[in-house]
Amino acid sequence: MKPSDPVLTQLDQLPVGMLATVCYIEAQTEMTARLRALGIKPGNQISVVRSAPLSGPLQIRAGQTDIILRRSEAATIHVNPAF
Amino acid sequence: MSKARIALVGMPNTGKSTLFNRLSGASARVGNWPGMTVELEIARLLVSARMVELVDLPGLNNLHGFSEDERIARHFLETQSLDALIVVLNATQIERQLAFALQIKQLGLPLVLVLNMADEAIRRHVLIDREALEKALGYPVCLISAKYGHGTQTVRQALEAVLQNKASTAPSQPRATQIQALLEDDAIEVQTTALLAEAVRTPQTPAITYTDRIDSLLLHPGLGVVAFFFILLGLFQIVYSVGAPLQELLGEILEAAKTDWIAPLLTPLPAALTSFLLDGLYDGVGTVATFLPIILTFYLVMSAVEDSGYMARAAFLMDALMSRMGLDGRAFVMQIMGFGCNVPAVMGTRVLRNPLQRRLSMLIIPFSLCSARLQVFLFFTTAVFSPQAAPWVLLSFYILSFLVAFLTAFIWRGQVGEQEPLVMELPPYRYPTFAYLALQALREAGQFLRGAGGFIIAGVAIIWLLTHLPWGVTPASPQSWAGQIATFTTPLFEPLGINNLLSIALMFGFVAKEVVVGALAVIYGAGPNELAGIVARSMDWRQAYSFMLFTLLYTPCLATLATIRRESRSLKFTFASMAWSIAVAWLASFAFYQIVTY
Ligand SMILES: Nc1nc2c(ncn2[C@@H]2O[C@H](COP(=O)(O)OP(=O)(O)O)[C@@H](O)[C@H]2O)c(=O)[nH]1
Repeated sequence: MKPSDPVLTQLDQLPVGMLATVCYIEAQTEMTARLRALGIKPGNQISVVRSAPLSGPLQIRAGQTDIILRRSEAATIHVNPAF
Repeated sequence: MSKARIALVGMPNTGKSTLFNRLSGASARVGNWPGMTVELEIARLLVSARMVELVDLPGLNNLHGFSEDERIARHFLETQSLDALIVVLNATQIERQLAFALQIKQLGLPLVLVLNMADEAIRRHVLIDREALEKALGYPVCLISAKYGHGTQTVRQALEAVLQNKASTAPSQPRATQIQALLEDDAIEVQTTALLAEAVRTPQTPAITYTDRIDSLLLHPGLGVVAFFFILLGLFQIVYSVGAPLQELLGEILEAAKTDWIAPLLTPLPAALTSFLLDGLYDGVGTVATFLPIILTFYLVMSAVEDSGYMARAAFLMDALMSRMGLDGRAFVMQIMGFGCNVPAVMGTRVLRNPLQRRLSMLIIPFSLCSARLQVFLFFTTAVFSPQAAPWVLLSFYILSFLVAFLTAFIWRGQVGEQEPLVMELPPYRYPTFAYLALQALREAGQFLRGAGGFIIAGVAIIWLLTHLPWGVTPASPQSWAGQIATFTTPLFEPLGINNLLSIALMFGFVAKEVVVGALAVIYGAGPNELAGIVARSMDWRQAYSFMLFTLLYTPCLATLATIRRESRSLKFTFASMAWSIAVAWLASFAFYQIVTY
């Protein structure tokens, strides 16, 4: 999957409840490593469970782990939605 | 045989502390380490006739993580001599955590791999072939539930086996460089995938759990926030309605002991000394001691909130608000922690990596209504307000505490540069275990007494001296030293409705807030039981409220100030934060008192 593929979307744009596969992450090395440790890495399936009030953070589900992530950080994660 | 040293490592929230407490019983203490700036929990245990020192390290996400906790744990691993490591993983999340165990393996230390929370793994249909893992990894693997004590014995046995083989490995240059070199390793990735395929079965789509159902209410954008405030209100009501009657009872017992037993014992002593012992030390310390039930209930409730997993929900719900103030949801959690005691909350700001963000958080935490200030407020609200009004008065201070903190953060947020990322796990809801809560509450209360005890006794003794010197004056009269100081500062406090006697007590609140009520007991020459009546007669509700408002805001205790200085490594910042809070306190009390008496 190339970064320019039109099917890709940023995680903060992914509709709640829809499964998607992580394609690539556009963040600094440290942040990428932290996300990877939490299960957000290319090839893994994730979904957005809900978002907090007032444009607050997102609750992301990656496997058996739920993670809190701000929208700005979620936007660095490019995913391929499963239709 | 020589002493061995073993460290517990694992990702945050995997149950390291729970296992640590299981293994160590009540023998844990806090230890300092050469070359380390923080204190870590250590315990001694006997493993097959060998003394083992067990160290609980802060959570690591990986070996090159960026949080302060990760730096501390890594620094420990790099510099301290160790015989073995216990790697704790959350069995439910083995899919993502196993790579961590393989990374740790590269350190070359003997390992015991503990897969904790086996109970949750079963409930979520995560199946693990322990023996296959053990065979593939080449070191002992234990599948346990630390919380319920299931399988902790197997951890001990595994430790025995591991310790038999190995002599202590001193920290070597290689270990440090190894850590440097341990970046995401493709080999580990491949190995993890193979291991998981062989030994682990996880359901394709996670089952809908009770956590999901509870969260659909508690994390609901509207109802969740409402529930959040109801939960906060409920906490205060519990602390108030359980702790307050106990406090009264203890006060009566202490008073009876004073008049019936201790006073007769002291009759042979000179009058001045008797007065110092009874009206200085006993009354002061006694008054403070009566608040112990409140503190215990408070920590019991607070650790239940933390243990249940609700704290992370609070961070989730509050992040939108906090990020607008240059902070994040974690800072809100610290702010809440500050309601127990400002000191650990200030230390807890270490989770914020940006030093400027940490300072901002440290600037607002002292406005958190800590349990020591709660003592003052409980005393005054009970003495001056009706039982129906008292909880609401108390609640108003909690709200004010938040408001002032947020306003302060909002005003100073420009000092913080770019936003730090917020990335944290949202754990499933868990039943807090009472025994564990009680242990934690007792530990906190003990730490509170030990940390505050010295201050209290010194503070109360100083107050007695200031109110009784020069010799021969009527205690706490205008002729006493305290009276002279109060007269001098009258112009400052009069517009706030704070009388001279109260302003003396405030001076001693600088040392520790828990001294304030004890100080009043001495200043008014009253026992713990009479004081409430005297206070009620000597002031109206406006003055009482203004006094409490000032007490809430004017300055944290010395212990907090010392912690701020240590954490910020800046005396200038410490004094600046103190000056800010005194200014805010004076303005707030002035505005309040002038408006209500207008
Ligand atoms: N269900 C379950 N919960 C556990 C178990 N062990 C620990 N916990 C809970 O997991 C949470 C985190 O535990 P803690 O020891 O503080 O983790 P640490 O951050 O790694 O030190 C707490 O709420 C514990 O009560 C277990 O075996 N089963």
